[in-house]
Amino acid sequence: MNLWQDLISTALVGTERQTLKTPAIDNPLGKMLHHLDSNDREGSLLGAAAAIAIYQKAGKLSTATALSLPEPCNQQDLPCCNPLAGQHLTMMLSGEYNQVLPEWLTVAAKVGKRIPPQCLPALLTLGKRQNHLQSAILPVLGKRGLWLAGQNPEWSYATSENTESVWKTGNSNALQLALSKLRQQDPKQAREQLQENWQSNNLDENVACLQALETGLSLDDEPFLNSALDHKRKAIRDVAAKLLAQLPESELCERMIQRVLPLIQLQEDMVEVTLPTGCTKDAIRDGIDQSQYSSTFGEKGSLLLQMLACIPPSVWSQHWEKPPAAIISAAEDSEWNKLLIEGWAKAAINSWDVSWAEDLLQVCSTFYYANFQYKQQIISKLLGVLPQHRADAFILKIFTDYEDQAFNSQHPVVRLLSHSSHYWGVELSNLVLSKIQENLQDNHWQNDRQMRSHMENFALYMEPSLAHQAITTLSPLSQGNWQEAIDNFLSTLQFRWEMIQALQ
Amino acid sequence: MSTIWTQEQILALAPDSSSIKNGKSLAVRHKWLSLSYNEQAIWGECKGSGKNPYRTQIDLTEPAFKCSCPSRKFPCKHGLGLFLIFANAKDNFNPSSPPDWVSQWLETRKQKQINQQKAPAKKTVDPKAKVKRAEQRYNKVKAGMEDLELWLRDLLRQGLAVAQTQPYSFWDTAAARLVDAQAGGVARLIRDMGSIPHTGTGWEGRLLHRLGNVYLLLEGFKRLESLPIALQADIRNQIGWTQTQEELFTKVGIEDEWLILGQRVEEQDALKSQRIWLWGKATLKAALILNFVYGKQILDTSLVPGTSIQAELVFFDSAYPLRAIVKTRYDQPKQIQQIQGYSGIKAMMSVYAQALSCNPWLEKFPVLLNGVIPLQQQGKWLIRDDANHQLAVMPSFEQGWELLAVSGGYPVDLFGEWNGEYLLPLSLWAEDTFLSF
Repeated sequence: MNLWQDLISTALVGTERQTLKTPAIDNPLGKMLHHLDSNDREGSLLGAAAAIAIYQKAGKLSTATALSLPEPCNQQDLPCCNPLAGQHLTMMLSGEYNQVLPEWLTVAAKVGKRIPPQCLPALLTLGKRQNHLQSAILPVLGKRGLWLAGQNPEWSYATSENTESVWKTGNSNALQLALSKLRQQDPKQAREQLQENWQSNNLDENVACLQALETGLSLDDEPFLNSALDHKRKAIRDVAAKLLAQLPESELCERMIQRVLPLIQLQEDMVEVTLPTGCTKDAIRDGIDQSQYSSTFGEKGSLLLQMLACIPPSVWSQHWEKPPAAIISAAEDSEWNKLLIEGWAKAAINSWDVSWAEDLLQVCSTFYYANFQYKQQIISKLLGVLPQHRADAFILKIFTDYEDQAFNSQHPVVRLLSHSSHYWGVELSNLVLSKIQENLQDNHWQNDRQMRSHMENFALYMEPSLAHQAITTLSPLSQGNWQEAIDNFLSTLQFRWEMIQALQ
Repeated sequence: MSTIWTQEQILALAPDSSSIKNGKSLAVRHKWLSLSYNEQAIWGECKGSGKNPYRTQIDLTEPAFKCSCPSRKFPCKHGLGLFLIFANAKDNFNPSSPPDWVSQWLETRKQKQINQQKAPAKKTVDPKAKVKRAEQRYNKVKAGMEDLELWLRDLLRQGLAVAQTQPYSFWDTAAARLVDAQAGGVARLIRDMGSIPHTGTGWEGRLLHRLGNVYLLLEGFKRLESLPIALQADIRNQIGWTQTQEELFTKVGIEDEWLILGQRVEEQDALKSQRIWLWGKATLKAALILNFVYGKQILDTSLVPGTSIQAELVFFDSAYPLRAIVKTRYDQPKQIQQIQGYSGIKAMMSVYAQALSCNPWLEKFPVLLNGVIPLQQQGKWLIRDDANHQLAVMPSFEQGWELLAVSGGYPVDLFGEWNGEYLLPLSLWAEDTFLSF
């Protein structure tokens, strides 16, 4: 409206310098403006402004021009979880019991439910910040979530579910997730997909994709991984070497064995160690890194540690024709015991060797103060190698072995449990629960502050169906210094139980 | 009991986020020595740090809370915790007849309500003195408005470009003079103008809009007596006079099933203002319940968005009545099943035009739209209807993605406030989901 522009320009410079001329307009607004007293410069300007402002407000009706609606979401979706489950999720997304979130996601995926749509933005944003949650988040998004994520570049990792476009447009995050998923279904096709994009991807994308080959890794991948060992970028070479080391029959493993075999001898229940003289070019090509130096083991010891970690421990049992326990016990007396145990532990983790992991844990639980560089990580990863029932059985056995020892933060079982990230079965949960009750009743933990943080962790992994029983036995003990710890323990356990019920 | 409370609705009652957390931590059975309910109320005894347990009770008909704990928050964490258990795990409650400490409270509440409905106690006011006080105030306001007119004309004479160079104090001082003149409503309008010169492109137009609006008020006030009674009320209200609520309780109101569509709490300095929007199911009338509280005073928790109440509402005088009070409530709240609003943006705009023609100073117009689709364009959120008309969503609204997620690209029913430029969404219905922002 030109009149409005005239009003503004007059108002801007002031009526002192400019006079407003109201043109005759033949409509009700014009007639109204005609009534204004043009001798009153400010009054007529303000009066016209008032009238036009309301005129504009009342008549404002904007029509979308060439506005294309987004394709609506496919309605054929997974069933949505019920409102109560949705409220549990909302609570965790707002920060309460957020450590329980991974469990909620896993259970929801297992029962085939998707999350309520109003929770999608918060969960997608959380996944963007916390990469480790992404693979758990994807299955519960439903079509609605993927539809939504496709419209916000911030959430592009979720577009990995859209297998057609992800190879062309996905970022490294999305590519890795998509490739891992494809590896579970068809490892060969996934590898070929990776090779197809190998030239066009950037470094980050290739590193991420290469890491995805860990899923469904087999000797079929060896030729490709071998070629990656000669790649000009170190980041690529390192991943390839790490993956090849997980394949006992690979040429890399064979070369590594040839390097290490002469250095480690089992002689009459004693393991003798000779340190390597140096690092050859070939060894560097196989991923040995001279810059990884551990002061405990020295320069050459650090090289040996890395080499040892690349050899699946089953090689030693076969070579010496002895069970892992015998070899480990022989190593314990060696001058280089720490190096051997740590190297084998890393190797057992890399090659997912259950029997070695179990026997090494036995040592680690007593060997707690051994100077592992990442001892806590190693213990929790070794535990992670064991399937749930094996881990439970193992911990129960340690329990029996150390029955007479006070159940406190120094107890091997407590140490193991505080590093466990698997959910405990009923038997183990019951046992721990009765120990908690016993010790609280007899006031044994008065000076053991660490037990409080262990309790927090226990509440996350203990069998949640015991919540009711736990409340009955422990709530009478909720007082004094321990009140807060017990209340938190019980409410977390109770929350997990309600949460799982709501999802079923 | 017909009402099924959701955790979301209950948490919306919490005074702050720490209350939410504490309330949730008390929402576990073992914190409570007893939990009981009857048709009207729920109550429980909660273990606290003191020797005696805290006695917590909720009258579900509103809901209203009471607790024996010393907390000054309202509702306190015990009230929230009790309510949450009731919502999530009702089996924990035993049917029972209320003990004395519950029944006495319920009885007092009932008495209070009856008293409120009775004619207000005649205060012994000297009618002469009252008239005199009113006259004094009128004269004060009149002088203030005359002062404002001079200031306004001076501003226009020198031009908006000069006004842009003025510091905030230029606007604040003018506003403060109006506060002294007991014209708080206009004072707010002037104070709000202070930030406009710094809002970027188009500020001149926005400022001129508002100046025109104030000028209209000045002109209206000058000829107040010659205007229709209802419009006089709007002008007086806009300037800063308030109608007393006691007076309203004596009037006959409008009965309907009132759907509670949304609420918004805004905080400025120590003053919290709470706007709750109601919508008459049969009358199709909108109503605004407006509350102001200072500091730690408590906000109204009795009107929960997503529910409806059978009630009698009395409206404040206005040419386009919106603000109201709840005079009588008849029943427990029910969940809203279905809502019927404007079929499209064009229909809504024509009602808005009518509303402006009644009350040109109308700032927030309640809008209930059926079948609109939220979408994002160039980083801005908007909604459109099937006739391709669109409304821009308030830029400060942060939950655009939630809007989109719940709609899934399909039409939804949306309630919000329209200020002539932007829509502020307050709640949303889609596929049986009610979402309150």
